[in-house]
Amino acid sequence: MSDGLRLSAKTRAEIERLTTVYPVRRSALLPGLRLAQREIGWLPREAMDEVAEIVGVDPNACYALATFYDLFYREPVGKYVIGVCEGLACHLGGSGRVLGWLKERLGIGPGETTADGLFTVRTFECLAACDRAPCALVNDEYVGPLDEARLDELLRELRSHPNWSRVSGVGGRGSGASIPDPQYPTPDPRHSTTDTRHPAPGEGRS
Amino acid sequence: MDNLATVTIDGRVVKVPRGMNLVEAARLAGVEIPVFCYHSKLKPVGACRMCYVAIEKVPGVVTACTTTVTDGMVVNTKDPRVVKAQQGVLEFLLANHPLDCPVCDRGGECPLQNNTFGYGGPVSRYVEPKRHFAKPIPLSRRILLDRERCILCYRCVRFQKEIAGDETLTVINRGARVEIATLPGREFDSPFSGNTIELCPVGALTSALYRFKARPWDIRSSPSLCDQCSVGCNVRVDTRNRQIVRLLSRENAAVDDGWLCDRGRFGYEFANHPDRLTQPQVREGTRLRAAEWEEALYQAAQGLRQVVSQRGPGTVGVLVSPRLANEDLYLAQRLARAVIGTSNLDYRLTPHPTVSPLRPDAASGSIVGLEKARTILILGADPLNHQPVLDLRLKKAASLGARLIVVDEKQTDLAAFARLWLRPRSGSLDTLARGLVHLILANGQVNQEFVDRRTEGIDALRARVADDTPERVAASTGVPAPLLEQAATLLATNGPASIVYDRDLGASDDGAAAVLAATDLALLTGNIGRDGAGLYPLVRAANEQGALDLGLMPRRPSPPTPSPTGGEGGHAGCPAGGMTGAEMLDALRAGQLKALYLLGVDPLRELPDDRALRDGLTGLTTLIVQDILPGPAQELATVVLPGAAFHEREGTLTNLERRVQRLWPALKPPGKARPDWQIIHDLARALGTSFDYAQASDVFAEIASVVPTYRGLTYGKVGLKGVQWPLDVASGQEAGSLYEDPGDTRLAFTPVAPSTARIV
Amino acid sequence: MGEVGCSARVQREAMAHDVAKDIAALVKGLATTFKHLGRPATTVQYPEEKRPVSPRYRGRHMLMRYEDGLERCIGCSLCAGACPSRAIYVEAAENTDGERHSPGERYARRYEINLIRCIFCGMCEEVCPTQAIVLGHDYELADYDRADFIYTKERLLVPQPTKGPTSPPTPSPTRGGGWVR
Repeated sequence: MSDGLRLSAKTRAEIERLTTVYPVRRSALLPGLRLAQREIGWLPREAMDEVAEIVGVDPNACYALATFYDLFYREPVGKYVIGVCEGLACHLGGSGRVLGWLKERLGIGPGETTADGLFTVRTFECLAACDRAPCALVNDEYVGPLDEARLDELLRELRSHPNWSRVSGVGGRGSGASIPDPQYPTPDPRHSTTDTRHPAPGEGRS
Repeated sequence: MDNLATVTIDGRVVKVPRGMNLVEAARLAGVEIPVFCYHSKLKPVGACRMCYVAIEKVPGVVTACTTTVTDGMVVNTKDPRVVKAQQGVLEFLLANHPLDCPVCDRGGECPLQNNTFGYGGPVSRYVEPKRHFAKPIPLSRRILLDRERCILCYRCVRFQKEIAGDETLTVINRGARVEIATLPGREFDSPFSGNTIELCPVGALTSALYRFKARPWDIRSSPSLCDQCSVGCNVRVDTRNRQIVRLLSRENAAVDDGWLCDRGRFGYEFANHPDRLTQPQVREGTRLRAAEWEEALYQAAQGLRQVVSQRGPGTVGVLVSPRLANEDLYLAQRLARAVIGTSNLDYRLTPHPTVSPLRPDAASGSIVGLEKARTILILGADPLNHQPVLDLRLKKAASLGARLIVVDEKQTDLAAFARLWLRPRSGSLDTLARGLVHLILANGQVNQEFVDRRTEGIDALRARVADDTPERVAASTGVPAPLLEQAATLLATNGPASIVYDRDLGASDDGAAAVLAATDLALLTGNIGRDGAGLYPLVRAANEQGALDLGLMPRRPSPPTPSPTGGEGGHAGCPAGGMTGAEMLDALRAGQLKALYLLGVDPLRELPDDRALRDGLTGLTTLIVQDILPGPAQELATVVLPGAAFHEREGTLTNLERRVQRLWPALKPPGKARPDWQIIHDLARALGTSFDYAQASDVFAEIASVVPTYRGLTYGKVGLKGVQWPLDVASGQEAGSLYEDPGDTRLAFTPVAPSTARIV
Repeated sequence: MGEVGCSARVQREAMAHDVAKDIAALVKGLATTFKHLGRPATTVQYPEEKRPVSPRYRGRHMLMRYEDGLERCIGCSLCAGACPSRAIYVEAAENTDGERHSPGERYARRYEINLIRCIFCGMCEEVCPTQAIVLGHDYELADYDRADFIYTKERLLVPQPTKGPTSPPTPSPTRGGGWVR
């Protein structure tokens, strides 16, 4: 839609499909929100309401769920969210310096977004990538270990590539871990979608 | 053996039902276990950890609310480990709960205060600054949230979800910064939101209306009833400085289950209104002037006498409000029929609906009986708007396993809780209802035993619905035939089944026929006369049922005039015929009425733009207006008489399940205002009768002596919880269900073709 | 009647004895008087002159203020609840940013003490969470009109302070301490 706060027909259809996948219709809320954020970049209230409406729950319930998760953004974020890990390994490995460099180069601290809307800097408690400390998560991609040169390279790459995703060199060793795109199951005809009294835990995912 | 478990709690041995949780079991044993999050009507969650107990052979301490009793369990609520754990819980709660009790509206009646006093340590070791939020943020116009005070028991959220059935309140930012909230920009817009104020164990959710109005020790409390709708929820009226400061629930499990709707809880402001009528007024030329009661009553009596003698009693009308008490209504009809000599008497301004032919004209079952139903057909009724607390009861029934069938074109609140939602096109309700009758007959799902023994006229019914085949019904209502089939099967085979419909449904043509078909459905399936099986025509106004019982309408059986020696004295002098309220308004417009006595009714408030009506009222020789607040009709009145509000008088109201309940005076009426029955009484005396009732209970005693359904009732019997009529005088038992024992009379299927079925 | 003479004699003797006693008492009394003639007077010339009262004396009530002039009373009505003679009436209202009377949310819009009812027991002072109500040393409370014994908030409230060490600072939620924490 023109205001950029509403979901496309494709996303709506996908969420609609998800509601039939789980034994309890409500279970589609979380993946639904994830799809919405994937499309819009963050979760405006309008989008949350829309997901709630499709899934058939009260908008408040949807909002409550979204507020629990750190990775659902309820305010606009930059095109690239650079999340610096502040776990123990990264802290010792110099995550403070990484934040300092980011402040120097982008002029923003954790929780802030650059004026051009390109970058948001935030922190994480632990990204479970201690082998690459100090590491960071750029959107869904791990980067690290970071030093000043690699950070500059990363920023240059992010600025120059219109649709950056896992660029070699900065990712470091190996093929690189990245959070996979959500893979959602297809409906299982054995599940009744109307009976909410007897959910079958675990059966939803095949 | 039996279903009881023997538990020892603090040395006391009690037998309690298996499956009961320990908090309830301790209550039965007379042992108090302190709680915050636990509430007997909500599912236990074990969130607050206050209800720790020690159980023999169980390591550590456990929460009582989430532990169910087992046979032979030995529980100690005073174990040193329990005491220490509870002190710890309270110390943690108070680490963040502000100590602003002196300015908190919950102070003085606060579970956190009480539990801290009873179970807390002497001092807190926590001296650091507490968390601070902006002081109360409005969740809605009515309800304020103070997040500092919240102890996260989730009672409010659970109430909304489990009882009210919505999620208008929610928990956000779960984790260290957890809060109770609504979506940003959205109000806490539940019609039952006020209950969360009473549920909140601290002063986190408070009433905007009650804010800083009083402290618990400033208040005088009195039992009373909510007069906003026909459910008749029991309330506690808290007054200070001759004003109502708040209404609280006074739990009556049979009526309200401890809940109030926001309309009832916050709708008392009319009673505090600064414009309340406090002084009788009489017309002097073009304006009204204050007068004493003697003068006003004399003028009113003279005006009535003059019209009766010059134009005859047929030109006098009496309109009463169905919110007035039984005592007022009874005396009003006696005044009209026996003193003035007119039957132009009604409690409603709109035409009377067609009603079920079963007599008496009342709900056959009880509100609490609905919980026993397995199937409930809700036919063109929207309790959320007209009887909100009944809506909660229906949701409770649904959560207890009843299958709801909602028949309504609109998506009512209950549709979301229904097993089946049938959406007949507008105006086709009758076809749908007859279609269900047809299906039950055609599928052989008739309760033959009941039909043979208790009813008559099934053959005529069979003939009448022969054409209403599912195909035709589906075509004309738009409801798919399989849905109809399912509904009919549920009704016929998943009993006991109750049928709930709006009594005013009968005012429309299709609704009238649907109401009659609903009776047929109940009789066909034998669903009448026992718990869970009943026919519930829902009246709307607080004492509409009382008005029906006492015959406050023309062309209906009216209570006989008592003879001077007591007992019934027959209907001597009661004129036949008479005009209904709607007909009276027409007569007014045509200038045919000469005198009108309005008791709590103002036709101009209902129909403000009706010029002809205004002219008719202007043309009256005598217009007596008795009310508690100024209204447009008073500008045209010859005499204005100030009445008393529900909390300023004695009296009884009859609710939609035939429960007669009492009103108590919490305050005196303002100024010279008087209870309505007294005014009617004095007016009748001014007209030369020998009415002699010293108090409201005298009037009620007469009602009980002349109205058969009220026989045996007294104020004492009605008491705090009310009594459902008819009372079995011999056994003193109230009747939960009508038609339990038919005797020789048989219940008739719709006796006439629907088009001619209008009763009034 | 022969006993009359005897009786008269006895009477005479008794009378003489009494007179002697009276004179002795007179002398004794005058002795005390003369003893005190030279000493300074102890009578206080009230109302021109007043004796100091005990520091714990409970006289007329005062409603106190903080150093910045805000009222200490928060309208909690605890004094009214504690009062054994039901002499206190409090009506609370909400502070707004535009109209602030006391720290926190609540202040007393009306505060009245009926001094005819008051028994000066000091329970109100005892129970006050903010030490707002204090029984002072004023005991000259006679008046001509019963209505004048209703002391309103305006009469009870002490004047705006001249800053001094006796007025404690206004409590604030963030500073910690005091009832608001």
